[in-house]
Amino acid sequence: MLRIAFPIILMAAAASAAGPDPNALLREFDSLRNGWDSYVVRVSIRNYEEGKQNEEHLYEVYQKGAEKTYVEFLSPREKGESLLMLGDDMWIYLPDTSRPIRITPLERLTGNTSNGDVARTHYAIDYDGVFVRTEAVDGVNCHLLDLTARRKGSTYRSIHLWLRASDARPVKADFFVASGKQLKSATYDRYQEVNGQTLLRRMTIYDNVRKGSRSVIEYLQFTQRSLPDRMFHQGRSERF
Amino acid sequence: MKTFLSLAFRNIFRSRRRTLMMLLVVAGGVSALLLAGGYFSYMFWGFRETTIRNGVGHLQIFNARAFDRDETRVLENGLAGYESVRSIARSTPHVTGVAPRIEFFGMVSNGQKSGTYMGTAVVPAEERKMHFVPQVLAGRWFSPEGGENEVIVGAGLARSMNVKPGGGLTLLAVTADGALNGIDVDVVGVITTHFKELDDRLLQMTLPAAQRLLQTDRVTKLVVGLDNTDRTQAVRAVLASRLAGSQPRVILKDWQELSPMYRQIVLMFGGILTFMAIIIFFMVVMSSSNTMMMAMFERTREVGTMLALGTPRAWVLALFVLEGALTGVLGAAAGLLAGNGIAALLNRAQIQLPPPPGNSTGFPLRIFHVPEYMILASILVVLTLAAASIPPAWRASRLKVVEALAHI
Repeated sequence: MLRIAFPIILMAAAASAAGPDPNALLREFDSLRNGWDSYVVRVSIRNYEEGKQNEEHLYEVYQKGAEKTYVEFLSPREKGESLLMLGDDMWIYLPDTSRPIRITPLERLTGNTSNGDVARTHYAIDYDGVFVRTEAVDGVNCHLLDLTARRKGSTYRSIHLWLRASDARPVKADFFVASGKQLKSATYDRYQEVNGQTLLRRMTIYDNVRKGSRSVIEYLQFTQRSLPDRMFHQGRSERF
Repeated sequence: MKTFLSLAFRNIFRSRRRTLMMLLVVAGGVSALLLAGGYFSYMFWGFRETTIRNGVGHLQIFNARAFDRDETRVLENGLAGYESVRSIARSTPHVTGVAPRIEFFGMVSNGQKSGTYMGTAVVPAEERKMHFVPQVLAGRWFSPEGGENEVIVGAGLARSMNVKPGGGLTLLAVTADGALNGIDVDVVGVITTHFKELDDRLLQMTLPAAQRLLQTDRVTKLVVGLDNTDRTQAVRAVLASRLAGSQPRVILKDWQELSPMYRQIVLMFGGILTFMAIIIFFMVVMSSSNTMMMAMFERTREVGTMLALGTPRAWVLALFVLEGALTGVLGAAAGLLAGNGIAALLNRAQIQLPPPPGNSTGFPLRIFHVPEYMILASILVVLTLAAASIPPAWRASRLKVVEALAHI
């Protein structure tokens, strides 16, 4: 009698815990990339084509909340350029010009990295998550979430995200565009504790169309800092 | 022989009214062909000159690599050190101007909205020398006193960027070594090419501004203008030999190679003209043979008399065919006179035709006098009329003498 009951009880238990809350998982995921509400992070991106590395690109990302991002380009060839995100809109500023150029988050920042990969990292706000299933990835139990874009300014149309079942750390992700075609995939490689916060230190983005092409994003230095609103102003006036 | 000819000639004019009818038909056909052909020739000429004047020029000089493979970076296959090539071309006889050009794509922003543009960088003074100035809708074209940062935009682009003369834009482009660069420019004029697809994207700027934007001193090509289109092939040969040893290697293209549409239009209208010619000839031949058959029928007794008198049957055949040919000759002569005369009158009248597709102004009707068409029409008419007279002539020569004499 008990032999039959046991599996039934187990199944019932499993059914009642029918998947973790995807939104909670996404919020956890966001906090691994955005340690504070207002902060500055120095980002290095190295692009590899067929194994050969092109020059390293450096950026200073100023993030305030989930709606305001300002990115300063630091590499010698890109000096003077900057990127601004306000809500659903994104612009790029070039030195010696008086008008910003409107761009989209999906457009390339450098290599396989889109503007949105650096400037829009709050997935809980940009995407609706649905829990699909739990499966093992490289021996690690992961929750698979299917994310669908919720706003006009979201970078990708949909994302498949694998988060570790134990602590919601992202393991890998697949990124899709509007047609359903998979554009790229990413692995989340290294984490580290900074001031009591566990943060993502390195991720790699792989091109699905051109195999052999990848970009390695390293988050070099995090600083929590309160940022003034005038830094995120669309006009060309002084920001500092 | 002379008797033959005079006999044929006098026979023709024996029934004056019938001959007049045939002459009218033949002359009418020849004139119609000359008028249609002359009109089409004028159309081809007009289209040719328009194509050349719209910026294609007579010849274009490229870096030879430009046709070997595609560029991965802008102006990778461009012409470097073009000044030496330009001075060689300028010193060639019959050359009126040599204009360097850069053609590339980029993004343009008015501050709120981004779009794409097709950039053409020019040296305004050189373009003006060869009459390459497009139609200005608002503002002005480049002026000699104007600055480097002036741009002219197509009507569609002006509308989508919501900009007028006096406004400003920011141009974005990828430089020759792959970096992003931008410059501010001032819009001084809005133009139209009469092609919507071009007007939606066209942006003209000065050569120095483009070279600053793209960080290069190369150009896409040199456009060469001549004083007379008919000299194109001759000048091309001279220029090619003069530029034979230049580094980098250059390649020349003429306006026909650069404008496949011209050739297609000429082929298409040539086909239409041929079709019309066939129909006209068909009608001329049908009515003439009808008249000739009637005439032959009425002269049965005459033929019988000739045969009774001992005229060889072959001579009878020959006589009638000669009559047909002679009618053709006279008809062709009349047709040439009438056709050229009417054409001259029409040219004098300066009739205005409505604007063709892509233009806003009409143009006067003109009909060219094309010697090739005149010769062709005349020869064809004589041959076909002679041929058309063979069947009845053959029948006449085969008549039984006694029956022919007794004919009504």
